[in-house]
Amino acid sequence: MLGKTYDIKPSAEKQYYLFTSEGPKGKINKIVLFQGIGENRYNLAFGDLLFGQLDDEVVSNNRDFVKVLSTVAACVYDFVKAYPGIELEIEPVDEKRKMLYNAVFKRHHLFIRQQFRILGVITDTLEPYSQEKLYDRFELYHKI
Amino acid sequence: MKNEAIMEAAAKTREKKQANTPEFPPEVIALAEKATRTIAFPHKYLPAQRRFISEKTKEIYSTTPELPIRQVVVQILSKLPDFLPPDNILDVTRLIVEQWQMLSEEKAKALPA
Repeated sequence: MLGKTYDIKPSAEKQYYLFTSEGPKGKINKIVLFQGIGENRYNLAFGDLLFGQLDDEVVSNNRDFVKVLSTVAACVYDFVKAYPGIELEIEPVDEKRKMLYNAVFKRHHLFIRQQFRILGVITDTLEPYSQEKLYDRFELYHKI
Repeated sequence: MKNEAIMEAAAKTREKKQANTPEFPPEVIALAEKATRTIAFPHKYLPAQRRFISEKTKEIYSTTPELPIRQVVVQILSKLPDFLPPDNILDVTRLIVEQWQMLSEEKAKALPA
């Protein structure tokens, strides 16, 4: 269901995962970071490791975004194996990614629902996910 | 014999896993490690943290509105991760106090004179 993914390298505590995107722009190192907010809530961030810096706004244009997103999903599934029952916040950094993430949830919500309760947020209002709506951000609650 | 077969299978799995795990230069690892010790993406993290603090403050106020503010701060700070920098701890503390005061004022206004 996840489709093709890149090989991932988790950190010892699985707080982050590294992988390398490969495409017309070459090899780009990427990080998926699970940063604790409080209790068992985490913020999911991912971006490129470029020139000694992390960048989650850069558009890589490596023509592999499906594979990259599948890899991010693989990281999430691996992370919840280590930390079951967590809550995960997913917030797109720009309008383009907002549309992309909404499209991903719309397409895969039935699969995601097998392991997570999905909530969506529109202008600070949290509600159970509906595929008919366009959300500003998402909250995933891992089912134990 | 059975144990040997299990050990062999486990070793093979380990080898396969190692073969699939990509390697990264030390500077990439160092950068990733550094990201775990700081607020890596503040533009995403800080609003999420603010929401969490607000939610927890309301939760505590709804059950124990008479709790001393010091205990409210301690309770919420104890739920936060260790990597937060000092200025963020100060901001969080300020936010909790302001929220608590706001909730107390709202309650006072709602009470009949």
